[in-house]
Amino acid sequence: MPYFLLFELVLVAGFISIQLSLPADKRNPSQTFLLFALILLGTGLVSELVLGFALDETAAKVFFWARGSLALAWFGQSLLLALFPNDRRIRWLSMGILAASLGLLVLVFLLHITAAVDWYSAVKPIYGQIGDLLATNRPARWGAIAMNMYGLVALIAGSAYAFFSRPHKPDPMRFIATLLIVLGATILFVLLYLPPKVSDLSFYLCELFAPVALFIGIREINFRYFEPLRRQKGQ
Amino acid sequence: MKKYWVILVCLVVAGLLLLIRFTAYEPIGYSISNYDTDAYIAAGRIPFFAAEFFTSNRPPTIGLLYKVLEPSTGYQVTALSSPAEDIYKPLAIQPGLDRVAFAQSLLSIAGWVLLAVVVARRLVNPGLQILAVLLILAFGFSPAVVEWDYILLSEPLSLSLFAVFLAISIELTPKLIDFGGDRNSWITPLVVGWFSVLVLWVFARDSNAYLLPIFILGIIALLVVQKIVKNVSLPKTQILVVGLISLAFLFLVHNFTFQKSDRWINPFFNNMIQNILPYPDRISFFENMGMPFNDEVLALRNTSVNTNKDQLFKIPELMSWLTSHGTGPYIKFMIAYSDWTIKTLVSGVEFSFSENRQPFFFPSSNQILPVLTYISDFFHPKTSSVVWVGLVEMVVLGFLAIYKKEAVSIGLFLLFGILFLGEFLMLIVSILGDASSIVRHAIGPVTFFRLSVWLLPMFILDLVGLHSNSGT
Repeated sequence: MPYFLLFELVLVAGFISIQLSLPADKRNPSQTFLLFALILLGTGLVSELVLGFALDETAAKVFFWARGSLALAWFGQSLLLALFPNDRRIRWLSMGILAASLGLLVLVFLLHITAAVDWYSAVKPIYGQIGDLLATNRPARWGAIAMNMYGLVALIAGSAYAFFSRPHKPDPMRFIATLLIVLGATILFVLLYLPPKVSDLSFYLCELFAPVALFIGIREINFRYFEPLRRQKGQ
Repeated sequence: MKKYWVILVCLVVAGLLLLIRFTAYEPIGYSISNYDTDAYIAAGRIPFFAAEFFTSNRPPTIGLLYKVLEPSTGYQVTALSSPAEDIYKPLAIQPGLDRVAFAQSLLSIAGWVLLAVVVARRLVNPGLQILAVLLILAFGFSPAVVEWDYILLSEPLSLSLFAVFLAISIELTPKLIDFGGDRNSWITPLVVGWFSVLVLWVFARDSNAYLLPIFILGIIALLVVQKIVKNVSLPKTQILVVGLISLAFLFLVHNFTFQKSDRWINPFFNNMIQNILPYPDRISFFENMGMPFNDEVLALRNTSVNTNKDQLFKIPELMSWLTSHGTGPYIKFMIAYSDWTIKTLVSGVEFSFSENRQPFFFPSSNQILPVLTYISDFFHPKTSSVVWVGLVEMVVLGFLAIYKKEAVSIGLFLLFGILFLGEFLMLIVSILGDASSIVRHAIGPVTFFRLSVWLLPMFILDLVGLHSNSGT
């Protein structure tokens, strides 16, 4: 079901449109990071679609940069900014994420395609092939791992914090949002580091589920719990 | 100011896709014929006001198109393909028929552009408006749809008319719900246009008529809801009753002319050769209903659907029995052999989605065609899973619309619900109604289900954005 890839791209493009049309009073650094995380994910999907047609060096690099290195970290930072909107350390971390993203962009575009080009298969997921395909130097490889680990930890720990730390009246959406974020983050991470070898239904469903879960989960936490709290504190 | 930027971007997107439509494919006016083309030409020569025009062996809308466009020099079939016999010819300018091909392409382009405009107008989110234009035109201008415009059969006109019908339905639905409040909403011309296009579409392919019973049931359901639930935004009772009567009348007229015509006999013979003659028990079943099985009929036992079928038309007692009994015996057979019917239907649904390109000609290769084909395969997946995806989308749209109490979205949900069920009924009729050319006959419902996958998320996301961004 390769059409799920385009379907996922359509959904991500729709989420981006929704983020872009946020009213001025709801725009905050967390929402901006969520917007860029979605743009990175969408960029990764576009490169995935291009790579499904034929091997293209630029598309492979874009995939490694946008999806393989950054998307998870930007989602994570979005959640942290929603949880701690006025924490200076989180703000500095945001600057760090931005700087690391730009640094990785330079590093990734210095990479080259390896001999794996000879056995590249357009019908197989790029996740399982990108490691062999790009001659990743250590800074690029470790940079990507660090960013993804940061994103995974931020999302899981952040959603757990959101669930346990603030006493509110019981609300099933709070549990659902936490669950969605944990599942979405785990799937995005697992797809990168336990890559699927074949394009089967489970692969496409995972690809589809992750952005939907993260979009709903992070926005839910942003709107329902921390936005009113922030307003209440006059922040 | 922002609105004009959105319109400008939509125009640029539409312009680029139109450029692809006009340059990446064969020139408009080129065409390919099939054996059926001759029958359409003949149908077009029957006087419009003669009853035979509606009861000939080809649907009247196609005959009307050929009648209106026929030049004084007439039509000449010079390029004929028959995939069943492995006869393939390249596209060509066929004298006279170039007008038909030209009209088919223009109507197709106009239909998809209209649908894109209407859907974009219906959406609130500017990004989604642009996305909708991109998706709908990419869908409608992909090889899976465009290539049909070059084929002189009923499918291209039926597909294009459906795009127009869907566009008018989407435009009309919210206006019907708001009817009474907004008198300047172009409702009368829209209703007239909607019904006119519906009539043309129903008479373009006989299986299209099976959308009508579902529409009728939908209106009856609305009337019941109107009686039970007060303070609900529904079209006025008078509109619903007029709609009900009009659609019921249209269905009866179609059914009457269809039964009077011999359009159903050819598919019946296909079914007979493939599904009845090879099985003695099924022959007995029809014999019990009085169907004559003489040696001439039984001689066709192990032939394929496309060979020697014409001989059946020359057996007077068989033709006499068929014309006096109509389609009833075959329906009784499907009910009696319900296991077989269900199995055939299940396998037929998957088979209907197994192809997404026309089989009549090989498009001339160019640099962009492989890319278009690659993209087209995403928009027109060769799997029936799109029905399930569409169903899930329908449920999500319905849930959100009802939960958010959005009258317009509820209206769109009802519209798509009716279309979903109606198109599925059409798919069933296409699979069980004719054992031959199932993929081609099912192209209408299959295209709708594929389109739904891309269309419904636009309405869902718009609803999500509208409410979540405003915090409701």
